[in-house]
Amino acid sequence: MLRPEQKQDLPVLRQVQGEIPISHRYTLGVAGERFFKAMRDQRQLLASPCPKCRDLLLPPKAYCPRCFVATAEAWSPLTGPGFVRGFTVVHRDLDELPLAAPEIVALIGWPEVRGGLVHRLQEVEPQQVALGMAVEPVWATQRTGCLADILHFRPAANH
Amino acid sequence: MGGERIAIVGAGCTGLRLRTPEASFRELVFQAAQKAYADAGVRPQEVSAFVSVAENYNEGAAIADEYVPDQLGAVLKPVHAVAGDGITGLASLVMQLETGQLDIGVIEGHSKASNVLHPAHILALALDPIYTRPLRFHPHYVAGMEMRAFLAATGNTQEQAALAAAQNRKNALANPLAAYGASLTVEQVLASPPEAEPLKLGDIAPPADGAVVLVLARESMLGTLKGKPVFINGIGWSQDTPNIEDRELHRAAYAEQAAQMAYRMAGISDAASQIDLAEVDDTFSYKELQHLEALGLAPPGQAGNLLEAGVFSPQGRLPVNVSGGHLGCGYAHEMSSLRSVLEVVLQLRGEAGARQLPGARVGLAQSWRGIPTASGAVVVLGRE
Ligand SMILES: [Zn+2]
Repeated sequence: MLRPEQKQDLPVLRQVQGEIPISHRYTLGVAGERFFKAMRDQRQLLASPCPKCRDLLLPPKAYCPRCFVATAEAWSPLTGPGFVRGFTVVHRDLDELPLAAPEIVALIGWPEVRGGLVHRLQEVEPQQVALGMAVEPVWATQRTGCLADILHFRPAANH
Repeated sequence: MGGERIAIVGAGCTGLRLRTPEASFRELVFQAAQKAYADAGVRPQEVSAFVSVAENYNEGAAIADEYVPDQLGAVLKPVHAVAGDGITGLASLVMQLETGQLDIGVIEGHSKASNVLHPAHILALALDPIYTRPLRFHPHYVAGMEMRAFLAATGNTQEQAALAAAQNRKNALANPLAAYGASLTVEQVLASPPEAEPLKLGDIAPPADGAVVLVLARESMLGTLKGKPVFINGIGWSQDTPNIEDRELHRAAYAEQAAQMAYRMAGISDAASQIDLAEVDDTFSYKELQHLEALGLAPPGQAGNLLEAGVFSPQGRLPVNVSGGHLGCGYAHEMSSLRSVLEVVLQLRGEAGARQLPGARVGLAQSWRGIPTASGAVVVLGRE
């Protein structure tokens, strides 16, 4: 038995710390491969059509999740600007630290598609963003076939 | 439900706290299990089915459910791990008992949120690794976008969402199990730092540690148990697409579906008049309003107005989150919704102490699996 004063002298042993090093590969899949190749090589956003419900799916998928059928071979490039379906202004980073400048995150839709893309919205002040606002992608000069081939979206010219 | 009815006959909870540096998660579960078994009047040897809900990354371990048996008295017993929220796990246990092959079942949920040192990084791992995670945004952006879409589509206001936060924090003051009871004004919630606009820090349920254990039994077992039974009259669950782009941002379709399934089973045709109290997921303040409308407890676009009118206050016609909800009790991972179930059980038994509602006969608890998911479950509980 320890006397109370001896107990207090003991170092605190309440926890040990551990780390989980997780690195992983994520396969793009047949649809993702074709989508990102078109971004890289043609600066084009492609959507895959469902032969049954006729919806255009973005990001494109090899199947329509609603109809449970394979999508058609002929994919359509999106023409014209997208529009802001949803947006927010985030103030902290993944380490919970305040961002130097708050960033606008938007869900961007296109009139002809089901789905859309989540991306950053720049070249605009947060107060000026509104639901329905027309936006266009700003492409990276060096593209490798990934989401970062689009640097960000910005308000569309002539809209 | 067809066949024999299933009842909750025992409940135990450690209470929620900001941090629990003195006790391991297993010791927390052991405490909750001891209380639940004593409440039900069972020994773990008599239990024939165990269910556990937990997410590996929050546990900091792979195959974390393998750590379940010891602290429940479940070594060399059938244990079923459910990767889902607490009420989804409860549904699994109900189905096991409904087979008629098992008599008494136990479900455990726990949280050691204070040991999760980088919660936003872990939450970000739930975002699509190809299409959304590479942006490296704090995952609360999903809630911010949803909140804006919900307010815009329904006419509910940011002030009304803040009122939900203030009311739940206040309700928690009467709940000794709650970690975040506080007297807050709507203005104070609105003045809290912005997180993902229009979402403020005050709109977000803060994390808490704790454990909940519930004991369930088939109706034919009730004579042999001392616990006061609360019957599971209906239960339902639903899962929307994981793709944020493919959902209707403003709508909690998963809660609509789960409620329809539970109501059908419970024979509920008009939830707003047949339910006496509800514990509704309020992980974010706007979620309470969105869920109330999805559950049919408020007409579309009216949740905020009814909240302002006092309908959902402890003295109102349909008290909501009288426990304090997650905003007032603390968000405790998968355990959160088992704590919601526990509150309904205590209220229906007349054992809710200072916050006891008079004459509650039918109660509802609802879960949401949290960001970035669109899945959840609903359970309807009754005194008979
Ligand atoms: Zn289709």
